[in-house]
Amino acid sequence: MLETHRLTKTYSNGVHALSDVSLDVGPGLYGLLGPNGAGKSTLMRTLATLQLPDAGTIRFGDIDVLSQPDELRKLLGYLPQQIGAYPGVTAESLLERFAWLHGNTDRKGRRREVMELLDKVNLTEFRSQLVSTYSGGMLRRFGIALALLGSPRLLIVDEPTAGLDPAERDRFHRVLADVAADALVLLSTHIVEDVEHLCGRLSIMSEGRIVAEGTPAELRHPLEGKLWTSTIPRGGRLPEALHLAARPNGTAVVVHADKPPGQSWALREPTLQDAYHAALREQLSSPS
Amino acid sequence: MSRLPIYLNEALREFRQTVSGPQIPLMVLGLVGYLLIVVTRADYMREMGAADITRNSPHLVYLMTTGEGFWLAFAFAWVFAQIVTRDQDAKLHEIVLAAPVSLHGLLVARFAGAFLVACMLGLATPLAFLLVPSLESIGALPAGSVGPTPWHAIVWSFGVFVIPTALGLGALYTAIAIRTRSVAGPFAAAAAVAIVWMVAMVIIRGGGLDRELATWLDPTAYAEAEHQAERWTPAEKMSSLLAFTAPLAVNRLLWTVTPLVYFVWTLTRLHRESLTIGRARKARSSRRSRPVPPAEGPIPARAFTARSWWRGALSEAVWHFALSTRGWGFRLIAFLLFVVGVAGSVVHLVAHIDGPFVPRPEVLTPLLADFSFVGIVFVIAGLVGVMARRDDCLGFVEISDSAPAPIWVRVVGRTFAAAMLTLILACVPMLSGWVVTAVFAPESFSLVTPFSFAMLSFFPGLLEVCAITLLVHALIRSAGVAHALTMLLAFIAVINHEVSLVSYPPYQVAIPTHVTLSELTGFGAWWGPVLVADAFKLGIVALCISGAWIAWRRGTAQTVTDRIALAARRVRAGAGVLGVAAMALLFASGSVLHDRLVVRGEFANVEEERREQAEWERRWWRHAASFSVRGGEFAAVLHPSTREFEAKWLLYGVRSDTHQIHLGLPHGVTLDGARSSRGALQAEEAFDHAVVHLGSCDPDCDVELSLSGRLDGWPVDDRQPWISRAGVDARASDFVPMLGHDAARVLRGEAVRAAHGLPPVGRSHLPRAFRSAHGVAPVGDWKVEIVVDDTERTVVLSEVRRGPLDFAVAWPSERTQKTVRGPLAAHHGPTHAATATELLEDTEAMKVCVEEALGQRVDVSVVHQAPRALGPLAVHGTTLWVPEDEGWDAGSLGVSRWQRRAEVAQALAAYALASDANLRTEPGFRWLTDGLAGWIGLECVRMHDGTEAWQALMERKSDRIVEALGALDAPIVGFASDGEADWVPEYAPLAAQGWAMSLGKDAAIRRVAELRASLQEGQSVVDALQQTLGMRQAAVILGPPHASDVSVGETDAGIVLARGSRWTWGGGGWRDRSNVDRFIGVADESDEAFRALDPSSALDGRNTVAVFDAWPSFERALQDNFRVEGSDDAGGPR
Repeated sequence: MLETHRLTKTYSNGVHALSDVSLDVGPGLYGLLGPNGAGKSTLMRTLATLQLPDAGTIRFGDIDVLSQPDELRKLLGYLPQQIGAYPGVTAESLLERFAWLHGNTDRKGRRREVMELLDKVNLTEFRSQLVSTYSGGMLRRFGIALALLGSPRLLIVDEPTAGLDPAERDRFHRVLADVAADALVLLSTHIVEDVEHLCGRLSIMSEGRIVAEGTPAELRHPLEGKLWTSTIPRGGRLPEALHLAARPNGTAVVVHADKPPGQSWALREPTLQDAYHAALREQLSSPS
Repeated sequence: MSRLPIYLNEALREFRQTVSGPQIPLMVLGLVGYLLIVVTRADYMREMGAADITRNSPHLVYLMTTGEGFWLAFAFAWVFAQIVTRDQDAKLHEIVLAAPVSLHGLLVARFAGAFLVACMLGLATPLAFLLVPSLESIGALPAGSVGPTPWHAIVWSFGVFVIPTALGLGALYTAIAIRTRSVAGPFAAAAAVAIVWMVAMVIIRGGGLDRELATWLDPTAYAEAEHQAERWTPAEKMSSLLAFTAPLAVNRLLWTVTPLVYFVWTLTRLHRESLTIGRARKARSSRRSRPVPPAEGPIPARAFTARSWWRGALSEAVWHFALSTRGWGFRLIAFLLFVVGVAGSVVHLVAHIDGPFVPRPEVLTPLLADFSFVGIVFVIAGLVGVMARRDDCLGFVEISDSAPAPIWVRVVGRTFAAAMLTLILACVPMLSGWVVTAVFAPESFSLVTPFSFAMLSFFPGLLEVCAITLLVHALIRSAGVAHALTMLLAFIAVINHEVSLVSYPPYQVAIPTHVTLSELTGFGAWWGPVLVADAFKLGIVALCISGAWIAWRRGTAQTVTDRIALAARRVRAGAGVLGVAAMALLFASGSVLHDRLVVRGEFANVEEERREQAEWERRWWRHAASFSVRGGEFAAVLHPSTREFEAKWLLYGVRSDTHQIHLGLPHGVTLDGARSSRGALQAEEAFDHAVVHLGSCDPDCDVELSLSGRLDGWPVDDRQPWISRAGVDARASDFVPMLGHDAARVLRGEAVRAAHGLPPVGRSHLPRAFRSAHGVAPVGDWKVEIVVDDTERTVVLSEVRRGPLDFAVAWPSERTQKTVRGPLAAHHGPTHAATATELLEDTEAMKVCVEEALGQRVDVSVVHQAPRALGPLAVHGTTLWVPEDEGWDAGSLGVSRWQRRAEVAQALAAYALASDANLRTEPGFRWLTDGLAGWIGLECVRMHDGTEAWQALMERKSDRIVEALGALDAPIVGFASDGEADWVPEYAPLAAQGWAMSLGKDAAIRRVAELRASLQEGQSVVDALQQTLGMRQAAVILGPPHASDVSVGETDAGIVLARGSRWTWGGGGWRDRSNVDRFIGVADESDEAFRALDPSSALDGRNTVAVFDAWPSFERALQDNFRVEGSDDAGGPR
């Protein structure tokens, strides 16, 4: 449904943000993982018609996105990484305003859509409050409502759950899952758990490239029987690890090896986070 | 550990951070560039009273430094707001506030850094003046037009104007920024400062309420700089240091110390918490929306059609408009503008020091627009800028850009919203006008006139400001740079509005369309020019919107290629069509305007006018020769519907030394042919001048001239056309050629003449070569018949008279009412009935007074209300021609009434003197038409209204002389030689009065009679003056102007004495100072009021109310010439 072919983007300061990025994404939730500076936001903005690649193609169904950006926008919902406090206007008014920018020019229908969305993101009670007075979490929820305007067929959300409390996060996951029932949702995040629980497929990006692509299980599978974990007391020598995590009694270390590095090491069931680190590590060690 | 290095570093960092962006260099370069353009424009220099001085004179330094203060008030708002907002924008404020440094120290250090930036901005004017010599070296300025660098003035201005303003306004804005934590707060404060400036300059100073109070309140100190500089002579302008007067000291203290105290007070109450936590936010908005409707049925499918997008654009417009006008800020600004309008109207008209004037819509509406313009332009630039940048909020730009609405929906939506906002602001002066008229002149109340003016004249110009602001914000990505640039453009628009830098109407972007309203003609003569000019402005607006559509940002990280590709797509998507339509509208309306204003009309810029004057002089001046004519017949048929006429003019007994008669042709008039009894005569025509060769017909030739006129051009300079579909209001000089040479067309000023290849002015021609001083032809027996041919032929004038050929005609008669008082009748509009009665009273009284003074009764039977701005108040035949602005706006009492009486008396006396002596416009003729007639006008008021009225008029005349001498467009040669200079008619009445007082009234009247007799015998004015007054006195009168300053003072012994000095003009200033050796005491209102006083004698005569110099001069400062009658106290006016 969404196909990108060899997308390349180099900024004027010389940063290669995208290098030959090719994706083939079907309906449902699709995750995009990657460290800071991996090119996720560039890819998101490019897919959201906000910037143009230097080379490559993008298609969404029958739409050639680069030559028909307006056609894609009719099907698009986009939530950027951060949204600020829009001054001097209530949530209801602002949402209604963006509704007509999404083509909903029928007043009654527009109001109904706005109320539904406010209800969906749990802001009905605060609809008459100035957006500039919203807390960070409320702003995030409001942003989600904005992204859902017009029942998008392609929803691009960049770090949507950052700043949400667990209950709101779960609520949002349910919203995304509902949308993904008959649309394509592209979810970019640092929170691997979100992708693992929600997304049928995902890509891992690093330095502007797709370094791994598949279902969570497919990405975990190569690591089965090869991950070992141990907790090294504070002050102890840390081995070369796939990733490290702080624990109350020291540092939890996960290493990727065919055999356990020592006696205290236990076999670890691979997670998507392990796959993510493994993919990045592979990218770093490969001659680019 | 000393914290000083930290604070110094912080100050330096603040400075570097602020100047590192493009805003500051852009502002400085923009201002320097603009000032350099200004000094290269001779017409602009003339408007600033700097035509006759170097282009980098101290006078200009003072005016420009204080003038730019108005714009700096807005620029400083941005600079000082950065102290607080920069950290917040970068989300670093909490980190900075958690640092272990004193908050107060930190803010003061940043204030110091911002202050340095402000000073840097203030250096733009000094920098421009330092660069002026380079303009001369590259040939942009004429050689010799640049003087030495005015270091003293530059340093003085910087020290007295820039530094205190930067300190004071900086402190104010910083304190406001701390309280509001936004850029909007300081900008709102800047708007308030601008309104205070308007109150000071427009209401208090413009209305003549209290000059010192105006100086105190003016945040820029421009009022004081202008007051001092406008009274300087050219020599003083090039050398003087502005005096640090007491009002100026108060002003500087008020605008520096008060804000600093407020800043310190704000700091002492400031805690980190208040800068860390957001402003006390309202938990809920005041208005809750309606209850949530139940979600019934599916949400309708999107309709991505052009129609639905138009509905979206409409919703967008309403939304932006509502958001912009909903806050208290907009309402407060609109209310303040309304209040300033009402208050300004009252002090400018109802309670004006030269008034009272009746606030009729025709005079009030343009006045209100004029003084509201300054504030409204800045408000529009600011509010529309905010509207354009409304989506510039983290994340919302991307959400907007990814929405499916075409970009035009957002551009058009904002355009309509901005236009509605502009419309509201354009209507504020109209509302003020309605209120003032309803209260003070209910009989003249009109809804239509102010509304039409607001819609057709004021709004289109403001709409240009609105569209340009949108374009700038579309073109420039940085909000700060865009705001700075729009404020600079607004400042330039204000300057152009104030001093008419651009004179060609279509190029007067942002300036209201020119209209002169008249009760009699309404918009009648202006529909064409106004609608086409508005179409041109609409074309500019459409072009700007098309540009904004093409350039509006959508998306991020776009390369130039991306933007060009995007622009090309938008051009194809409709912006191109709009742009082409705009260009077509511009081309079409511009062509019509050029045709009607330039080709068929009279428009020419100063340089073109001078070039044509030079060509005229080269072609015709040397052919001037004495001529005379016995009389004749003039018959014309006027066609108002086509604005045409044809005429036959029979001249009897023409004589000419060179067998030629010269005719100055009014605009649009053509000499079709000339005949004598012997056949056709040869004629030539060029530069609105014709000559008829009499050949063998001369002497005593009868000549028939065939004339026609077609006036299909449009009026320029706000002058009403004398013929239009709305009617005819014509004087002879409007369409009858003037016999003889017109000295007014000779270029004055050696430098200007040299620039146009003309030698210095040589000896004057014989007096009889010049045109008549009154009317269009010398005294003779004239028969006149004027017919108006419209739906029917109407004879509007048929008379036979002896005198100079002059008349006035008006048509149709139905538009006027008639008020009769004895032998006099006034023809006036329906709302002027009360004024007509008063004007008839004045005319009758002044006729008697003039007759007593000159022994000649002026045969005036009609007082005609002429449309506004259609010439001066004057006698034309048997008609006293009183344009609406020259007599009909005066109130029933007070200075305006006295002023009108003086003008009526002067007009009657001028006619009597000129016609009796068959006066030509020869050197010195203004001593009679302006000098003696002006003195008689003053004297009639003294006799009729008393000493207080006389003193009030003299004070105003004295002020006007000083202003005229401060705004010379050419160096002064002498009274006789500078007959057409602006200073001559201002100076002549007071100089003549000085001469008359030195003789005593009766003696002066006798001398006038002798002078008239000499002139009747055929002597020239110069010869007659020399014979009547003596060579020395005549030389004094006909030479450069003279000034005196007499004061009545008290000695230690309590004896009241008069002292005084006198000066003569020379070398661009007052020179040859000497002590007054002979005084005149003015006793009372009797005829024998003037008494010669010995300088050493005490003024113990209890009747002596004022003392003057016994010398043909004007008194520079009248306040100390008067003493309280009946006491020995010297002092100010009663």
